[in-house]
Amino acid sequence: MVYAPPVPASQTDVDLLRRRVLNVVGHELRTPVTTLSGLAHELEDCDDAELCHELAEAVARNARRLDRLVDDLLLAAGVTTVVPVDAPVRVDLVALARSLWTGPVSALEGQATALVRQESARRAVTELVDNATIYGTAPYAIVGSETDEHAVLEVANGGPELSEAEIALAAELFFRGERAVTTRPGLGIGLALARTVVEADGGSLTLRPRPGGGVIARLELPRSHG
Amino acid sequence: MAEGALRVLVADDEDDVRLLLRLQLEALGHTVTGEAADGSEAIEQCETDPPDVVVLDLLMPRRNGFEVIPVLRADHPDVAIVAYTAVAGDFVRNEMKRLHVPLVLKTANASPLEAAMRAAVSEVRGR
Repeated sequence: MVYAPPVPASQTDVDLLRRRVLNVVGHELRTPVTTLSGLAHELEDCDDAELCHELAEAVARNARRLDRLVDDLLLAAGVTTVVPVDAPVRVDLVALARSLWTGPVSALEGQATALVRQESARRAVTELVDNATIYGTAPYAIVGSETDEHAVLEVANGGPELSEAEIALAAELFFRGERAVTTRPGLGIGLALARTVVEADGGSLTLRPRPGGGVIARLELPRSHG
Repeated sequence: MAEGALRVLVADDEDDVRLLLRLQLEALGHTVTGEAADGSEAIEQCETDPPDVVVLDLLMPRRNGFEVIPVLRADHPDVAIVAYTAVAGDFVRNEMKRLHVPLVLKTANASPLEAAMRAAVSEVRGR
């Protein structure tokens, strides 16, 4: 099945889309900006060394969050200057996924060693893991495999049965599912950005329904033959 | 506790927002009775130690703020609620208006939040 994402049909649709995007961007900006401002004020008045240290760490955390947000928005806008520029290295994708995973995994198997920029691999695998653990349910599986040309990582999670069209939407820029909208802040760009960075490395990211419900995310990257 | 001081439960899934609110509210003389990182924790903490007012983020895991409000209203009608959110589109504004919950946008200054808390508590106590 070939799925074509919906194209805005009218000025009204374009306006609606623009408002939706600005709304999620505004949300993601406001929290760290207002938190930073408030923390800086508290830091000015702080006379307790331990609390000052805690506040300084919180300031740094929110500054990093804003830095990452700027990168994400530039990537989302198609500005590829923020795509990592480090040289490709050998990356064990299964080990990377396991290191990022904090909960139980019912299946962890196979091998997939890619020749890829470390930051691109980390970014893409992080998005796959986050997407599965935040929005999916057990059983979870991380499976690696290799073809002649590609190292393949599949991250599967359970969940409701979804159509291919619904799953394709999940990787669209600024798309947020109903559950995401009502429970978590976010831009709805993680999977789309993961796709952007892996495609810049000659790879691909696809999603498909998992038999019985849920999603299988498949990451293909150039294989390391070393 | 100083006269006029409120007992406040802070419910927000962001650690740093909770840290900031605790410092700001305590600096204003209020007592933060607890911090909840999601809607279910907020309900549980209201069961064990009902505050005067809950500062409630709307987008939270497990149970979001929209789901928490009717539960608190039914089980703890004496607990005031103030919705505290980063942005408020039409849906949020209309929904809070319908539920009669004051809505405050997140800012670096706690004054608007404190004013809304006091008004909400006065209204609950005046019923």
